[in-house]
Amino acid sequence: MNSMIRKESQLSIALIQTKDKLYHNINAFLFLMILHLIGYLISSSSGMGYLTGGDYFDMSYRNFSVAPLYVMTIFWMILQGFSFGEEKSRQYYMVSNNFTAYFSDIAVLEIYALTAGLLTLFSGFLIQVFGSLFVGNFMLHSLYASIGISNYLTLWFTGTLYFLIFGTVGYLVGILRSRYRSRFFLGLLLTAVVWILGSILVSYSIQGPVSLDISTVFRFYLNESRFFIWLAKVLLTIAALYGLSYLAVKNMEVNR
Amino acid sequence: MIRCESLTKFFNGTRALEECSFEISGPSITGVIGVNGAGKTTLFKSLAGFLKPSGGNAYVFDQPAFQNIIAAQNVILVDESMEFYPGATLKELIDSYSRFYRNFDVKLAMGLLKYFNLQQNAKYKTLSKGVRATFRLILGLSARAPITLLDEPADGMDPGVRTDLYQLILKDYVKAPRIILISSHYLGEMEPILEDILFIHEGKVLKHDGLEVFESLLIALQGPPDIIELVEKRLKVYEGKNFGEGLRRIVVDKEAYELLDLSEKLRSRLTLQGISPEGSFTHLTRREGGGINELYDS
Amino acid sequence: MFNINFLLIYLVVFLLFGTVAIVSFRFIGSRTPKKLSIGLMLIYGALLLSSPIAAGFIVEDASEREEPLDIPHFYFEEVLVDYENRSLLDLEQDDFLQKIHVTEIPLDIEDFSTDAPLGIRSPEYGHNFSNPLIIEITDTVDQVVITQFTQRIYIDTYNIGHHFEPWDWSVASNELYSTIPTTEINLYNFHPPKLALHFDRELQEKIPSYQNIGFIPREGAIIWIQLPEELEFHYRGGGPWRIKE
Repeated sequence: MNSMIRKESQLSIALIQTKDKLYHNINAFLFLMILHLIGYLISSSSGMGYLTGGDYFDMSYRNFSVAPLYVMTIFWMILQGFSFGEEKSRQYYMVSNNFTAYFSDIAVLEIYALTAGLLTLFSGFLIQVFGSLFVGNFMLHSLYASIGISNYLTLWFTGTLYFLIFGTVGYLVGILRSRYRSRFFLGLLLTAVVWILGSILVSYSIQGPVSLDISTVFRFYLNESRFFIWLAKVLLTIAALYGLSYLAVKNMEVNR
Repeated sequence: MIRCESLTKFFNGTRALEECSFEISGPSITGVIGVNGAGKTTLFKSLAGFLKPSGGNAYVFDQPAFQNIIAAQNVILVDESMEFYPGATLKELIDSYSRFYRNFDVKLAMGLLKYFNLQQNAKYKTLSKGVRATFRLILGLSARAPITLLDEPADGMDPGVRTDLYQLILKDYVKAPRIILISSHYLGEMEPILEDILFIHEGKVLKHDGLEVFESLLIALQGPPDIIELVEKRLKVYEGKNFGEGLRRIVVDKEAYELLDLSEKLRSRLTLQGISPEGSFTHLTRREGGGINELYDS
Repeated sequence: MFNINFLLIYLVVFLLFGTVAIVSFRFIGSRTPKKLSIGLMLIYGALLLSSPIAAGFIVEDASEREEPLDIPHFYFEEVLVDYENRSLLDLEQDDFLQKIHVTEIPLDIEDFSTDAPLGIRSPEYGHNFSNPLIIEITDTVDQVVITQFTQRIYIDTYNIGHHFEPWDWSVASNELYSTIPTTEINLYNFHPPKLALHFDRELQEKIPSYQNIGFIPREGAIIWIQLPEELEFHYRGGGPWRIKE
């Protein structure tokens, strides 16, 4: 019997789990494709445009936009993260503990974010091709003459990290829901109350209007044009989310 | 290999295990016996590292089992709440498990699939309850984990398959000796393959010993009511029945009876009968107080 | 003053949307064969990877692209007001204007006399806007020549003047009149994603969020009508009258 005993490291187990999860969840990419298809369909009328007319003039000017694809991809990442966070029990019947499960979940989410970043990067080119082939009067904005490889790298890099943030948020929420069950919604409600009360307190103390809604949070990252400051913000956010996720999963029992 | 030291587990104030202590140090097939809610599943999940003890500890290879990766890769728990990827076929699940459990015998698993007429491309979620139980058992045995925990493996199986089940466990144990714990509340079925019994009642380990000890745990004493009454006054009686006039039968602890201060003359007027382990289990776990007749007759 | 926080609304929307999505997600996840998924992914991946190359081969019509000039919104009005100091050649050489069309209408001048002149009516094409006609009596033409101009109008660097439908001039019953066809333009613009310009604020601000031409393009029209010297005509249109002799 002693020859049957195995003593593999946590890291090697985590790598096996990562590969296993990628394989068994391969249909997640199909789901992403379907979401992207929806995104392509609504990309033609998603941008700001305008219609003008007079008695003899009828003009519509629409912007094609990749924004719907990004929204769909964000939604997909949140869903994947939430799914991984919620379905902890399934993993433990294979060789696992909280650390390896957490490590492999994060690894898979990072792979998803990298892939999603790449797919959305190329989606712009695909829109150009379809637009040029099937849409009359399709034109590229003159800004395209000003952007180069570094901008595409920026697009891929920023997209990947933003996707990862959303995926990890979904993951954290999934773990909290899995761990705390009925108390989860109470926790959400408390968070909302604390957020609103916090906004009120801050606005009274600085005697000025304070908007602490989601758009403020988005602008905190999106309006940052200094690369290293932005990188610090994003990496610190990801690190904080990773840390909170690990704390949430630490010592979690498997009991269903 | 497995050791529990005063293992205690509470769930929201409800005690599931209390001061459980036992040790299994070498290959054996142990039956974990107890009524529903006795704590068998909690014990298994604690050994598998799923649950954190409220008190004491469960050790696997001398290490606390909870969230221990060494324990995890050498223990497999097969129970009804086992979850699998929704769209996975049986073949895919076998492949997955073979990656995690290094001793996994894929050939055996595929052979067993064929033997039980399971299609390897079938999806687990499409199987009936009994067939799922069969597949879980195939996984559990093929994994050849040094510590194999089978929680109510026969639950939902057809009678014909149940017969095969215990034969299969025994054959596989002979091929790859290891620690196998099987929990059930149907002791009679698995008695033929057991070496030891771990008897759990109301969260406590009542007894952990070889099967032969359980075969002589309780005895039935039959004889004249006046002599039986003498014994009844001094020993705990698990069951008492009158058979017409002049004959009464009681079930008592064998060891306690042997130590009882009773003359040989009186003893010679009593007939002793052994109670099977399953019978002993039934008596030991019977509820205190009135029986079902009293409920309906009152 | 406290701005209302929409966190709860976001949460409710997320939960509702998420529930529907999770259900459909599980359906796709559990029922689709993996081989089919992988096959579809490979096709999609191949499409995406080949798209930059394909995009490079698709030739964009560059003739309609121009470097936009900084043209005052109502430049055409300045020209109309200053008509006496302008010539047709000036307008043709004016970078701020674009020639749309030249219509030549051959006429027998003898068909018209002082008693029966050619009537010129300004088109009814809108409300409360001055007419865009400049009538030049010249000896350089022996027929009616109508040159239509418009003020250059850009959407990004795209000159939409190329799409303008010219006015349709004709002579009937001694009247020179026009019908104005409706110009229909459907443009689709594709700009770089903002994330690509995340660290370039200057370029990011150039991404259009809303573009207003500022005025209805038809009003940018200038119609220069050249009439032979000998032709008798009578202008019946609304003012101001712009007749150069």
